[in-house]
Amino acid sequence: MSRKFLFNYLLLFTLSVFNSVAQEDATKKALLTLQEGESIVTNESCLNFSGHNEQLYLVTWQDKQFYVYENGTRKGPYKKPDDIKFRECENDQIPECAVFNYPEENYIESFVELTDDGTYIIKFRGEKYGPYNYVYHLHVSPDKALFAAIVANAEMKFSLITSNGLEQNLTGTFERFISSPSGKQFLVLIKEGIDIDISALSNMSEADMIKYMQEQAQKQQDAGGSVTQIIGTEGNLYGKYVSSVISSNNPAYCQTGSDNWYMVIGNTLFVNGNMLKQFDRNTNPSTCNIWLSTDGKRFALIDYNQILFSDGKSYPPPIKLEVEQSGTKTILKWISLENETELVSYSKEL
Amino acid sequence: MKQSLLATRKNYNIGLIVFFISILLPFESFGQKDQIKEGAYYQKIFQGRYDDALQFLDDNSWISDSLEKNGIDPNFAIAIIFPELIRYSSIKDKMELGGLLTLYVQYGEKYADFSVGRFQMKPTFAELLEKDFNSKHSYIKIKFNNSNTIEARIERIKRLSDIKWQVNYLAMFLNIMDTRYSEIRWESQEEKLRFYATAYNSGYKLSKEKIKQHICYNMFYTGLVKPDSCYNYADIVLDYFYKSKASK
Repeated sequence: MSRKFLFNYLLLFTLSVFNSVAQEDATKKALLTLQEGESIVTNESCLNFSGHNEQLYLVTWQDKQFYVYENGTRKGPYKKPDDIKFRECENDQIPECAVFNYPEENYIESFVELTDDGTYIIKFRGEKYGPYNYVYHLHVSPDKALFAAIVANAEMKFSLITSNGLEQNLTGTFERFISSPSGKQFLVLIKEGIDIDISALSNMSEADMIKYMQEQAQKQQDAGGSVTQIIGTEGNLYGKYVSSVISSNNPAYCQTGSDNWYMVIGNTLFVNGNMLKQFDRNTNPSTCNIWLSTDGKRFALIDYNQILFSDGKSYPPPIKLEVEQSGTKTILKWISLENETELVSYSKEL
Repeated sequence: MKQSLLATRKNYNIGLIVFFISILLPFESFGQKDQIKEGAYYQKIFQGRYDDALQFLDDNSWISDSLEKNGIDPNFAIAIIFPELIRYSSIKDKMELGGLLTLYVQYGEKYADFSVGRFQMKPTFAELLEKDFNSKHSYIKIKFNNSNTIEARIERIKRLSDIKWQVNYLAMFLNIMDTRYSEIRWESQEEKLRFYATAYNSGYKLSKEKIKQHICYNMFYTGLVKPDSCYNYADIVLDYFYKSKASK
């Protein structure tokens, strides 16, 4: 019993040491101190991460007058904005969303052919796939080595087809295809139980057909919710979720999370379908404000009043954030305003 | 225009008059009024951004339905925020609210002077509405947290970021205006709309006299930086109001 306890203790100790190595404390650097009653005009200020206050260009407002911090000195006061020659800033303050959006091209024209009988064939690397009545979505990996397609037959039964030989029937209506940053992994969202009038579809244009499908989906939702399946690259079912938790950014792949997908339901973060973290009820997690490490095991939540890391450490929230990735390393750099006057830069690896 | 002026001598004088009127239009409200009734003047000025705003309303017919269902004239209400839809369309790509949201949540009023979302509502505006709103006379039943705390500001920012809540704030604004100015007998719906729209744009806490004074001011612009010449907010509101009424 005691040996087992010792073993567990050593294991936990080793893991905690490993974890602290992987997620070290943030490095902190004071940039400058504002005066009493002075506030930053953020839209006109250029905040960067050089670590030197000489590099900062800050426009501030105090007692109804403007000031400019440039090359380490404070200039002003200026009575009107017109009196200031504002500097153009290149970078955004905070990336709008951590979610990765795969730049899908219209591959239908390049890889899909219409046959004489009005059906479609996918021609990919010398192979023919089909015929299909409809090709709803065609995804091709960046190296053009793989494809995945959502096709449908005359009865509007959907299937997932891949160049790896997968041919899987899908039970429901195709909702969305989400590709990972590498383009080699993906998710297919299928909404269960939507009634489709096949005879009505036959006379519709493509645009009308999409509109009809959306209307049916909306009806289903209005009638008391529906269920969405999340299906993986191998055709595996990750799970069925109430459709109301699914949105355009949820589930998703993260810009820094490699091929790991994530989803937030309520206050819980799931990675690859498994729970990674149940946040405090006072936090506001969404896929847009969560950055994942490349192995999908660590994260940072950018909340309104803090940055919270998966090692439990939290820091003042950013007024400027940059996310750098080098190999498997993801580094968050941010600038915060502490105690209303202290402008501070931080850096921490995920 | 120049080509048609040069086309024939017969059209020259008419063309010249039209040309001078068109120069005067941005500055002369009598000129705008005629154009407003035709309902095309501002659509030409704001072009794609105006069309984007119309498209947004088309795609979100629930806004109109929801207002109507709750006893609010949707034409009147939507007209009030229509110029903000145009503004949102033109600055949406340049909006950087991230840092401002953080500063507002941390330090409050000092950093509250920025506009959020489609209806371009400021946190200070929402805060005033929350304090003045009387839920007894409205379909919106909620007890707002009016404390000067981080939690209250986070809740407010979350509401402001939600288009459904922006519609609620608009309904709250109308509710407060109706109560505040219940003694006024409006000579026309146009007069009332001009007054309400100006109050929405300039601040409904201004005195009645100040709001009336502001009706004539040209203070509306669509960029991030105020240009030398601006447009009249209430005129754009009426332009849309007549157009939407005519199309029904």
